[in-house]
Amino acid sequence: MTHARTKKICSSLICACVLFASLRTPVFAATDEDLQTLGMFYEGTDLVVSATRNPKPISQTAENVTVVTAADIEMMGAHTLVDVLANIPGIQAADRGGPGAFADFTIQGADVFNILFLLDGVTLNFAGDQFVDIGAIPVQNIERLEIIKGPASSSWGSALGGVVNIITKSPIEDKKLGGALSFSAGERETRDTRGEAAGTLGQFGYYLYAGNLTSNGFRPNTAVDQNNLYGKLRWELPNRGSLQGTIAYDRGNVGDGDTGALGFFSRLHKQYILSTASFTYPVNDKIDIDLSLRLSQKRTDDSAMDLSGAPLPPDFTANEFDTGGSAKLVWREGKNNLAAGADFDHLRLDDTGFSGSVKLYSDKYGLFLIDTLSFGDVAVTPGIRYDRMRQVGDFYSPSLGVAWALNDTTILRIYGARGYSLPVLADDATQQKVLTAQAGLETARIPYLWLKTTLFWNRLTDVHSFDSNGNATLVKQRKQGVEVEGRTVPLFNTSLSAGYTFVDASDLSTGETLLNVPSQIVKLGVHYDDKSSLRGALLGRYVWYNASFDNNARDKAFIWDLNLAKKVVEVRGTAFELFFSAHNLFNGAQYSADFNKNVRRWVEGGIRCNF
Amino acid sequence: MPYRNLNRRPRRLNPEHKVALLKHTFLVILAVMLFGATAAHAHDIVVIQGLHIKPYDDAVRGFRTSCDGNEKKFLLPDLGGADIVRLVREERPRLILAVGAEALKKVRSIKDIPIIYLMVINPQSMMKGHRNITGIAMNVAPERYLDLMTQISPRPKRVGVISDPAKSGYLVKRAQQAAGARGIELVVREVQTPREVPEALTSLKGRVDALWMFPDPSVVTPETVEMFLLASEENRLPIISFAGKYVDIGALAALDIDSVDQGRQAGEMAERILNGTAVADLPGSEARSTALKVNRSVAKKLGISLDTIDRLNSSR
Repeated sequence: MTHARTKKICSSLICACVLFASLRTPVFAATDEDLQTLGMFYEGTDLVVSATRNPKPISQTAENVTVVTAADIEMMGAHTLVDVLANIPGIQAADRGGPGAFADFTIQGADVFNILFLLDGVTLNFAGDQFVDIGAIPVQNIERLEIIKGPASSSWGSALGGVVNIITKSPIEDKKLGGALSFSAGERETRDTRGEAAGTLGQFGYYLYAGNLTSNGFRPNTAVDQNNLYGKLRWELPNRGSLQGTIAYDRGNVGDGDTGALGFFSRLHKQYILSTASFTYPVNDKIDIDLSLRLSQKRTDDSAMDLSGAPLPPDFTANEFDTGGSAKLVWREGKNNLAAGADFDHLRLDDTGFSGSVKLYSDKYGLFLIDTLSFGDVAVTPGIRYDRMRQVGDFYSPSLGVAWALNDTTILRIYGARGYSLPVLADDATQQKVLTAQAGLETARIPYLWLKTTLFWNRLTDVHSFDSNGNATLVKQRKQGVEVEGRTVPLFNTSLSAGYTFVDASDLSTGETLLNVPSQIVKLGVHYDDKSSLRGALLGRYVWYNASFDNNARDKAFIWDLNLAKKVVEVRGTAFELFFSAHNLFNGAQYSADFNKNVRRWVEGGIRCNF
Repeated sequence: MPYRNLNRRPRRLNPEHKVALLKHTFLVILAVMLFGATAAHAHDIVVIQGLHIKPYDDAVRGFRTSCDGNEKKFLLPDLGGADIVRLVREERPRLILAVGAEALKKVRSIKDIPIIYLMVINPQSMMKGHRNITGIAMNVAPERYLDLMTQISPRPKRVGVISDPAKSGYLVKRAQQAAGARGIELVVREVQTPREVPEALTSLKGRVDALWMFPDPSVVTPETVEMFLLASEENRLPIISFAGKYVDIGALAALDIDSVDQGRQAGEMAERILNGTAVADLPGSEARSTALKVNRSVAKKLGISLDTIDRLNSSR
């Protein structure tokens, strides 16, 4: 990217910030439940909402955390997790052929193999290579996403590049039956059908979800047909505590993209089953105990054919089983909040590939101790985790974070940690390691504007680097940069958001800049919500891939998506809403390699019923 | 899988030389944690406030005047999508004050810490099976309105009420029980949405000699208030309302609640809980301090003597 282009982007961001900061008009909030109630009692002049810090990350944590709610996800018009992550500052995510297709993904330059994905505490990454197919993860059943950008090994173990923690929806407490049905249809016979139901009957609560996504795909060999089922049952114990069980079942198939130039096409048939059983018990007002068991099977079969359609043996199968459990004790004493726990997993791999079969098993366990100490406006969080895995031995991951509330509207964050990830599970595997330092400031000091900045520095060692012959060497790298996020409070029901991330990635041995690590990521958004019937979002994203010359990457255009939703009728608590999405509104080209082109403009619409 | 490369076999590096240093780090961190555990003190109260808005700010201000416990306040709009329960638990409070229905919804799954609600109009609907929740409901006891009606001359005998059973049914039920003893009959029309209000008003025509507005979002909207006022004017029916703002535009009278005093009431409740009183011994309460507001011109138009109104004012 030229300096001129960098300058142009920076100038645009500065202009946007100045525009946001210049807003001084009083903000009149619309009608949520509290305002509706207050509106019955008070005059409008008493109901002026003041601008406040927004939003505050979980627990004033020192790490760089982004939280995405179910409401945010609905407004993104998302089909799968890719569509959500693509709109988060610092994240580059793009599907390779439309809804449900495989996707590229990085967080601040860390690729998908170094990022831990959890669903209800169950690891979604394949143990064999840490790959996770984010295009296969449905979003309707997500209550909240907690995204930690940067190493988080002291809490989670193998998580060198970050964590995407998926927290699923819970039973509705004050209803016996509530939920939603939705159907959308778009070009290339894209259909997304979803239904969810939740409620509470006495001490029992339930949440159920079923969905089907089909599409002929928007690039060669990217057709998809996936089915998702999810269930959660909860029993509130008579005195205190609760028991909960969950099961997720995903089955489908998807094309592996345009590999025609290599003389074949392949199609992947996937079947994932993940289940959990957990027990939560508050012993007293100071001590909580959480116990959980998990069981998962992840299987992918790959069938390939040549360009004439003749099958190409042998097929590839990845089949993994994980049986594990976790125990956690939280102890609150004074301002001390101590979490101590253990994780255990027995992994079994039964893979067959082009070079024969691989059968492996591994036991891994981790012990962790994380504390949060509050000294007035300063929260100090030391933590340490010990992991042991049969193939790779010990690893210690210490961390230390400080969150300092400078005033009512400003928080200073400092965080340092050591972390690791295990990119390949093999008998002689080794971890990639990282040292990280982060500092950030979050403030709502400027009227009507929330701002968050984070500086990060990551030094990686034992990174697997492959030469042109496929031989692996271990190298050292550095990834450092800055991230800035901003959002205005609503003005006439409209708010603006922006995010900019710069990553400088280099090989410490050679001093050369690492290619194919996204170097600049820009996110822009205009959000509208009249709180009664009309909602909309115009979301833009730009990535400078810093790609190798021979990739023939295209990174000159912003990609804009427009999502609109209009509530048309509400009868006895049941609301019907029409929605519409125009993807890649201005038909821009933005891709990291010419064999991996982005999807051009396409539109879809649908209807949603909330009851 | 497209990215799989099962043939990768990187050499293993032995990290043992770093382990000893890290073990020492572990011990140092553990020592800091244990020191902190004995040295620190928690906040007594966590306040979760639904909006940064004047009535809520007033209520919290009132709370502080009658409760000495040290507190930490969170505004829901500040918290984005944060896990509120987790955030509250990490503060380890002895008591939670939830200001507004949204705040109460966010924290009510906590069952082992006392919760006091404030500025909530229908807390009952959110309290089923929650024995750790009490508070001050944002309404005035129906008996006080009925007492007010008995002092109006001519005294209404049949009073029309429009209510959504899910929103204000519990208040209407109480009012019906108390009305009989005062020689007043309530004629109730049930609705579920504001669109049903015009029909309900029409059905009351000729059957009642006053209208009583309850705080019910399914009934009271800017549009339906116009209809209430029109029905009042056309049928010469005095309206008894729950907020002074309706008296300004045509209702006869209202008992205005005082959000500062409601906060004060909640603060007194909090003090008792912090001093050891069980939540079960502190049933939910309602606004105790009210201000009577009357519209003299409406009274004159409806033939209600000003002497009666003045006597009402002086008695409050």
